[in-house]
Amino acid sequence: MRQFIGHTGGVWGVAFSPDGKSVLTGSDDKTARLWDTQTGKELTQFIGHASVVSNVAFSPDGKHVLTASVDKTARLWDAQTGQELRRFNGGSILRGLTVSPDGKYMLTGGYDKMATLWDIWTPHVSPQFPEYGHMGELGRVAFSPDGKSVLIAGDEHVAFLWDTQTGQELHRFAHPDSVGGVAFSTDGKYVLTGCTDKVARLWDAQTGQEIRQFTGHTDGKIRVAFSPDGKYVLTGSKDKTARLWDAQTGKQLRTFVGHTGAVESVTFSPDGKYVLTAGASGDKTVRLWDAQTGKELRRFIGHSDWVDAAVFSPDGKYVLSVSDDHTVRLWDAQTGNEVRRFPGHTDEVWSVAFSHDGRYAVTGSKDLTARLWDVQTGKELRRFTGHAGGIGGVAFSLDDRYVLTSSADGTARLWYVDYHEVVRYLCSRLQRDFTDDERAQYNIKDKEPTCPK
Amino acid sequence: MPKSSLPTGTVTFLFTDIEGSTRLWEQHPRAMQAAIARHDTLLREAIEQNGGYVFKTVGDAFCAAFPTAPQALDASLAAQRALNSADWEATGPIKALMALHTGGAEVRDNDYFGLPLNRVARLLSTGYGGQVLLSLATQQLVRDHMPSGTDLKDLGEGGLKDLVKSEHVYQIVAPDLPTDFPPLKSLDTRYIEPDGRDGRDGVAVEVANPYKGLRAFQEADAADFFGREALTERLLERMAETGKLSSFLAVVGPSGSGKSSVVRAGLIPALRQGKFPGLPGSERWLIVEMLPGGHPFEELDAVLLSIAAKPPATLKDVLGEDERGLIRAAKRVLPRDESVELVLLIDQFEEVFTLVEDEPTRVRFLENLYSAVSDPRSRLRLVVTLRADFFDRPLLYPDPGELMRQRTAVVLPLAADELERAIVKPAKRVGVSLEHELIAAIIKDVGEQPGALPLLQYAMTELFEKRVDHTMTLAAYRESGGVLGALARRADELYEGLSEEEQEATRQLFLRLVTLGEGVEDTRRRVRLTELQALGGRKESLERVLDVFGKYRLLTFDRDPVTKGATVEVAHEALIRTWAKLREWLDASRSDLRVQRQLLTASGEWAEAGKDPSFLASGARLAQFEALREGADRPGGVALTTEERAYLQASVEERGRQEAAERERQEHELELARQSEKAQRSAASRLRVLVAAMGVFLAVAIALSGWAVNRSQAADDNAKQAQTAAATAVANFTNAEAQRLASEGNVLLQANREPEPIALLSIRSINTQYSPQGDAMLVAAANLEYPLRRFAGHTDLVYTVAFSPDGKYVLTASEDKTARLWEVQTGRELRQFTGHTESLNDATFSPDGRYVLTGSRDKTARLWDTQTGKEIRRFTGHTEEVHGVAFSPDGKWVLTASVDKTARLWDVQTGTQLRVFTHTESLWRAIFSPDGKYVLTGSDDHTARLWDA
Repeated sequence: MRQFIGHTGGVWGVAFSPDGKSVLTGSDDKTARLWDTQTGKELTQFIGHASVVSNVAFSPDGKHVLTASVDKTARLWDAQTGQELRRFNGGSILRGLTVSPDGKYMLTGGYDKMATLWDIWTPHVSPQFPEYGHMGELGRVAFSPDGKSVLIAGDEHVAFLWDTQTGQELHRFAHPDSVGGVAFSTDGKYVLTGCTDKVARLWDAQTGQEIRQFTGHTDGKIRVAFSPDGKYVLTGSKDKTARLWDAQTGKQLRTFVGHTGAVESVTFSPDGKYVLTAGASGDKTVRLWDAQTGKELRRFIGHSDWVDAAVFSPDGKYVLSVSDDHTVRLWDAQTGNEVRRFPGHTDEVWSVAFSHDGRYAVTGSKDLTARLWDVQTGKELRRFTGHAGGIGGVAFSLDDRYVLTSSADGTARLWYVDYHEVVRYLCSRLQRDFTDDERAQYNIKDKEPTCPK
Repeated sequence: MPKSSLPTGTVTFLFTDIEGSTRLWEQHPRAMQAAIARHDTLLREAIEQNGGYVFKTVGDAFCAAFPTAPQALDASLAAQRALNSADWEATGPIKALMALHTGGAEVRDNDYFGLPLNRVARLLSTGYGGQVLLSLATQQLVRDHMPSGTDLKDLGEGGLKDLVKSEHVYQIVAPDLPTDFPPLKSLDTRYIEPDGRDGRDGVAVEVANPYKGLRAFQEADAADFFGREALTERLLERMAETGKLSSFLAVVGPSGSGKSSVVRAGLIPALRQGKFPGLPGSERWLIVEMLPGGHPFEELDAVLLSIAAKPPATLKDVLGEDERGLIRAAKRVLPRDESVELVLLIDQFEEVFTLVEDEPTRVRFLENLYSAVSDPRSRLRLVVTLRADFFDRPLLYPDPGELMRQRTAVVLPLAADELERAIVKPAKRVGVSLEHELIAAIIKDVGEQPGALPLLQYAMTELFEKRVDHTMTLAAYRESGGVLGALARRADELYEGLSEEEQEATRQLFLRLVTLGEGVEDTRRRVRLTELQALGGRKESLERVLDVFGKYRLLTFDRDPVTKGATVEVAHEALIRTWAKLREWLDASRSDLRVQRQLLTASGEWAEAGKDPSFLASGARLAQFEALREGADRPGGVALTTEERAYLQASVEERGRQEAAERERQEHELELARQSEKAQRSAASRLRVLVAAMGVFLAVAIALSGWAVNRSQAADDNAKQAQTAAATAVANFTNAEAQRLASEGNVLLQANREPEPIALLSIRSINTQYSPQGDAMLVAAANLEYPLRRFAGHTDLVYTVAFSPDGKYVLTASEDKTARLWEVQTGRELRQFTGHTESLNDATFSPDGRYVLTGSRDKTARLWDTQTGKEIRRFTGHTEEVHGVAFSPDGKWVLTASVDKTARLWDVQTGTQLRVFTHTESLWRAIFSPDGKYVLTGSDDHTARLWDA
């Protein structure tokens, strides 16, 4: 006889892994544990349930573990790491638990007098990309032109390329220091990153290999952009300059000198003729430069604090800038006059993007929200709430259907631009409407269906 | 740095004390907390960096010992320099007097005894803040080792006349420190024996009132704090417990039960003494205190900065980052020494739920606190006091809820003997006694009254002033109205003594000083002085009212730690409960006040947003504000501040502009409408449909619109004005309804409830009208998992579920004594297995799916034919209920687990029992390994066991 000792409460559920090599237990000490059948050694703990783990089960491939608990939830875990992957709100205390022979479904039974069937692997409408590290702050973001992958800068010396739909990591671009800027080339073949080690780097998006370095800046952190034709690379730095480089040779072509503080964002005009930069650390201006000559053409003056980002409208007529002064401002690119303000954010605004059709803008702020704006009226259309940290990166997908946000909370999220799509998704998942009791309970007077038939 | 052992032999003692600290505590109770914490850090650093050892602290006074005199001298200089150059803000400079003396002393229990200690204490009592005095003995030892630029000044013999051996006293002179002080105080004019009489000849001197009125006991009041010894001990024990969340403790009790006092005057002084065995080294801990207020992170920033030896400009960036901000900020301000812990006391924790208006801020603050106490490496301990009627609020948040469930200490009313100590002992300390009948009368009056302690302290304070010949009398007690009446009577007296104008100012003042309790008791509210000054009454009246009520400590004054502006507050909520006049005012103006508070918030936001027009009021809300303004100048009205009036005016003007635009548009629409009477009728019927649908909410809306009609008819007799108002009211209702639905969903989400209603409510909310709250709920709902199908039909709890081997069928076992078979595809119930006489605990299919096996509370396991539902075999033998059943992979054997502490192996064909596996407690489950070679069992004896089958 072998004993598996470690639980500090009664053992309610036991299960063998499909290969019989490990044993899974669930206990009223609120944990489930995985043990080596032969040695009795504890392999993994599954911690998170708020009450008794009443039942446990393995997926047929043995890679995942499912638990049911008195805390009314069932949870899916990675058998190896013990990481919680999904949570199922059972609505009542759960006791029964089993996985279908094909591993696709889970069945729970509970105090609601019912057995409930769940699809374990339904894709989510808004995949939350995996959290990297505990303190890892995520910064600027970019969609690949085909929309299939997203590029995200992280402060733990890595830029990530993630699959848009599944959130799976495709490549990881390692750097000697934190990554401040990311960009995709228009053809999607190359990835550009700017790093606090003062260097910008060009990578092969397919292989993940580093191709070229752009060195010359005298201070980090580096912001980056591709010219629309992909021939040039634009960088901005804490050394108060922006620089233009030949993407092919890595040679520096021009320097844009004039900002009195760090250059916090760089971008090309849609026709590639102009360069737009935003100034921080005391500068507070947005500046427009001739890409050919390097001459400063215009200044956008008005922000009362650091400008964190500035972008062109797709038609090149407007410039939109966001600042630590909590404001979002739309400027006439021709005259440099302020056209409109988008009021709403209650803290520093860190990031901004135009939709590709030019109708909408999205901004990300330290106030934990990203907001969607009607550019014509300056009205707030939607608020994206859910991040637990400030939002340092925002981007629209090429079809303007999704917005991607990345946050200091270490996560990136994908959102539908149109919330009606979320409603449609929910309606596709829902198998029922309110019961009569629920209508009474929540004071819903009409008899209309909640989801359209 | 010597920390572990006291220097022995000839030792130089350094004693320090803060000048005027009692006065500072009275004037700046909150700022002093921070200042003292800072002072302690600076002193400790100076002493320890120079090789000294702090062996005792008494309140804010330090007693330290040094192996050599020059070290002590260096320490005192370093300490004075640090105190001198620190920025003390609200309290003004904190000046410490210091005295040095050298001699032999006996060491016992980590403390010193002997004459040199009395000497240094006496020497200390003759000096002034900022001064360092040396005895002759110390002077002899340091005079040849003076740091460059410093010198010693001989002050003569003046100060120490009453000592047996008269001697010279010296003062350190340094160019960067103050050097000019008044002549030394002679001891005989200052020293008062602890019994309250002058030390020499029994002449009565002015004795400080040892009772505290309405204010909570502070740390400096520890000596007058009696009756809570047992509770203090219990709190220390709770703090000494180990375990995951043990660095948190919530002290919960009703208002006026003495939560704050027991923490400040009981727990904290005990920690500072470091004598509690379970908390070794607590005398070295840093202790800071804060109130959450409306901006808890800013308060947190302020208190953490106050203890930083080298404070950065702000910690807000660090604090604001994420839920680990507090951990990082604490790490930054705490000294390297790992044994130093930080105790953060958050008093009136309920403010997190009443004053913090922004939900994300509240959540983030709570998350920060939770992370800080749940991180095993965190050196932060958190003690909060929470009013019992707010106990349920933290429970709405999963993690803080868990903290409250596990780590709460309840403050119960004082037992009779404790109460007697609290009444008698403070007076006794200063040589005043109570008539015996008086004690009995007070105990009877206080008795079971909840929250009577502040009233008691107040009555005792008044009574002490009326003492006759060192005795407090029953007659005086009866005259002042007793425990329950003294406070209200005093408030009435003060009120009656005011002019009519001042009385009105009093009413307006107190109406601002109350937070209306929605469904719970009214609570006090901290108000900026500028808000009161902007009320428009005469300045002199307000000042006199503040003065009169402040003098008798019915009001307290403080400074906002963030804006540094002066604030006013009711000294204790007992006044709100017991002063009948204030209750009358509140009840008469309650609805006006509610509107006024909204106006206050709105005008504040507007001002903060740079008077952005989008922050102005409109519609029904504006109408409410206008009604409030009209009533403001009438008797019984609620006065408005200039800022509130400006906001209202701007809102009215903006409405004028918008109405003009709207009229123009409507003119056009009306023209079209006139052309088609039918169109108008249908519009009217639409409104009626709305009315029917909205029921009670619309009654309000219509009432408001009707009111708007009356108002506007005077100016513009046009019916469409009314329609506009009604439309606005309907819009406001719609918005409120959308938010209500979202918040109903949020409640379910927080409680892990079933997902469908959450999704349905969020869809309803966003379809009613877009709101950020509804949007957030919608997104949250989209991240939930939704069931594909439910198999409903059992009439009681379902304990077990199983798939058939081909995945096409589902088997369930229920408390309703049946097992049932269902079709996965359709959710249809196909068969019931009935026969067990008690609840079914488990059910499973045979590996080939032909049989069903069940285990029941009726102590049997049974085998059934899946196709027919007939019982085939019964396995009997267990002496208690059968919890778990299992088939061997080859289908030949059956395994059962039971409460009778055994698992049993049976032959399927014959039903005979083959083997027994025994645990020491009841079993939940028993299963086979996939190869059928082993049996695995799980039991209440905390083990799982593997057996050879």
